[in-house]
Amino acid sequence: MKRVIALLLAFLLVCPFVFANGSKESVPAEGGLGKNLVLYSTMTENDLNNLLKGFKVKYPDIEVEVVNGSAGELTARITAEKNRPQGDLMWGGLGNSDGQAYSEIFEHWISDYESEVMPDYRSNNGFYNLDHLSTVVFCVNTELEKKLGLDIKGYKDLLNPALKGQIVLSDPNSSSAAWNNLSNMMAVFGNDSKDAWDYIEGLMKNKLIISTSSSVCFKSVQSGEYVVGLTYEDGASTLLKSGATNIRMVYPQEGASASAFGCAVIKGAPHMEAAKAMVNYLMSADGQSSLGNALGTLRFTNTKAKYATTYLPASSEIKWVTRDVDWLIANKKQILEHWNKLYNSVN
Amino acid sequence: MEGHKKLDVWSLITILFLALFCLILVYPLFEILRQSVLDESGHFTIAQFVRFFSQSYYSKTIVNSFKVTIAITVVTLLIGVPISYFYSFYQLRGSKVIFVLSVLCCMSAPFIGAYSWILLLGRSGVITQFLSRYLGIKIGSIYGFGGILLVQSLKLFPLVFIYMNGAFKNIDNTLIEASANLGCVGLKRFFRVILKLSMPTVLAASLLVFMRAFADFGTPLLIGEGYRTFPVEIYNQYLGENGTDHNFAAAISVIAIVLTALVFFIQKWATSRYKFSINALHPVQKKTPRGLSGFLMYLYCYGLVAISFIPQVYIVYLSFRNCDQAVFKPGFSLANYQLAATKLLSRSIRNTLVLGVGSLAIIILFSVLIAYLVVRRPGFWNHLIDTLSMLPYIMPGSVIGIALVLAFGKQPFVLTGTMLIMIISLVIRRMPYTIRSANATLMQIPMSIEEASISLGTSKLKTFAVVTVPMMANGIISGAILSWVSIVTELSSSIILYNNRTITLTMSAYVAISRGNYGLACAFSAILTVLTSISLVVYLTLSKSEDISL
Repeated sequence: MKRVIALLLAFLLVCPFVFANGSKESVPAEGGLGKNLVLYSTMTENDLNNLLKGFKVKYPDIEVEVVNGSAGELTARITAEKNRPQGDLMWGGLGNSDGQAYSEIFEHWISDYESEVMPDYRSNNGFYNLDHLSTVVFCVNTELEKKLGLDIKGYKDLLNPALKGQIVLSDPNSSSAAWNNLSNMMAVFGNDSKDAWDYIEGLMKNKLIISTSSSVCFKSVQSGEYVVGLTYEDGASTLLKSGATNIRMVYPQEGASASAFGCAVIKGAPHMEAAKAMVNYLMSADGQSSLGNALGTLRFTNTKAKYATTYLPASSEIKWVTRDVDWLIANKKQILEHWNKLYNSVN
Repeated sequence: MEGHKKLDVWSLITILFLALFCLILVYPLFEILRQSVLDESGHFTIAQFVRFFSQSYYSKTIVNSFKVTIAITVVTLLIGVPISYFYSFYQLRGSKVIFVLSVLCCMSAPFIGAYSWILLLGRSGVITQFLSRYLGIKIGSIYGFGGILLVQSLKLFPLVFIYMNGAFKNIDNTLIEASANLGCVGLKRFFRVILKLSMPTVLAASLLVFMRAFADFGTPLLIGEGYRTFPVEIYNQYLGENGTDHNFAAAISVIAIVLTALVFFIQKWATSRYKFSINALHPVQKKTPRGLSGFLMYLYCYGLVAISFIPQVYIVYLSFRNCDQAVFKPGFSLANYQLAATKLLSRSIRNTLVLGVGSLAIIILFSVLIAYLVVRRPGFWNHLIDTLSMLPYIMPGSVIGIALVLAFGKQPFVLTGTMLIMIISLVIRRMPYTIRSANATLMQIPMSIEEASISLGTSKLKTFAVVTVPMMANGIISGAILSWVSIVTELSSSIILYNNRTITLTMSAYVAISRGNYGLACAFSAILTVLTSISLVVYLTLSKSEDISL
């Protein structure tokens, strides 16, 4: 009898520790660079495969495990794991308009190559290493465009009633790609100007579709669900690279701009040294050159990097506008609230 | 209770459960309440609630959720009750097939149906393309309200089906005959006698469908497009890329709990108005369907099940198709499965099994003990345990996920990212169901057998283990395998709690869909479908019955 109670008690008390230990075992604490590295990333499959390939050449002993997700998902996860970090670094989705938002969860550490980075894209918060640029583009389905008899060149073409319910954007409240597009509209039409909000209202009245995932804005355009997706260069051009012939990228004729995105080491990363090695690799001219050539879909920030952007137009063919990053950092919350209010009154 | 009683083993177990529930239920709930009334700097505020109700961008999600959930509940009743009626009152050929397939539909992972319907009926879906190319028919958008309604109704009607089968089986044939003698037959008899007699079950099924549909997160996320629902909003506030706001997410969660609790009590009240008991001494004699009505009956039953099952078949088919990221290409291969093998497939399967079996073992152990406490030793504390264990029933999965993160993401109990926190969430989410069925089972077992055992000198705990538990086994096992299936396909709280070490098959499939790797997603989903099918077959062969209690 007593033995049974003891057993039962023991079970109830011990079971949490058994399971807790079970998961701890898989986090080895090793010296040096270690063998494992957990990478949290928002980047595309293509980006990641090529990064891992290049990284493997330089560090053949490190096994990299990738956790894919949206920027919001990943930062929320890192915040939740703050007291027991599971990931080592994050790549992608960390934009220069975040400001100090994630100061608490990343190591305040900058790569050895910061001095080689284009001056505009040096870290503005002390923990983001901005390695690549993400320019806003429209991903247009050319078959459907032809069927509608349209020739989409810029923002004003999107107000055409023929495109009612055919334009897709992800939710700026939860997607960095959508926020990137919204930022560009502010740069084109004037920060918080009447023109900007009038345009956005017009877009919403043309039944702008809000999707939950940013990859929908290029993938579902290619598969024919939508005619136009407001998206970013890397996503759309990756489809071109994998052989899609029914889409094209349109840089809005009113002006395009880019957000710089980067990588950062997670605070208290279990494999700190390996994480820093990967950030250094991503920021170095060598790393960016080899990754750039393998991808052909991404523009990088290291001035010494030399690579071909096979699937992107030359920078000189695009009309650029500059965005006020500091203003965007300071006004993000208010812009989003304005957006939500407007969206609600239209729908 | 019988006055002043000596402390014995069972008192100890009561104390243990109280302590445990305080830790894994009360503490997280308290955390979510606390966070909902704090601002970023930690001061008391009700600003979060004001923000929610004053900005219709947010408050509209409640209206949307209620609208679509009520529509789903009504539609599932409209399509579920007839199929159950035909199934229970007529001798249908292949009735077992109808039953098994429809159960499989409601056991599938929550978002697979939505995803498959997009591929079939989306703007560039197979059926859409076919209709517009060859027949010139344009079907409207599958996204939004209509899409959620379609997917959820076809997924949840089996719950009504299963519940109603039980109720119809309990209807005594003499009542049917008596009403016929009084001239009440056909539809009139169906509404005035049969349906009225099964009203408590109709209400119970409605509540279950309502709770499931209200809390569902995967379907609106994929197919909702601009139709914003409550659980998705909670998720966005917690995991959104911009302006992530834990306090606001907590506030929305509190509102969600209050609303579902309200629905729960309304249902309780409605049920109390239909209290009666019937003894089915003369079970209903099944008739053979004949003629045109017979044909229509067959058409309805098989048609409904086929339509509901198509999505899963289509997913399995697609999993063998060649696929480059989002684009399906001609030709068949195992490439998607090979790709899955490089994407944590073996770990996902292992975690799924470990989590499933582990949680289930704990659920069964707890349920049996709690049922014993509640039924055999009723009293204030044991009823408190019972009530506490029912709390998660009214909490949407995403709320439980956030509550656990808020409670166990910081000292003194840092559990985020562990298997343990996943197990806790699965246990507290599924336990209410198993405790209900364990309670019901134990109530039917006469106490005299146990008393005999104890008076013959066997200890209380041993009596429980060797006498009571074996007698309860049947009732418990029937519920257990189904709990297992729902654990395996769990999404809404896991999505907040999982990470690369604790990833499950369902999560892998979800990640693949959300990253646009459609072929990969199909491969994971197909494996999941096979796993649930095997479980169900095992269950049916083990239990040798056609009954399923949820």
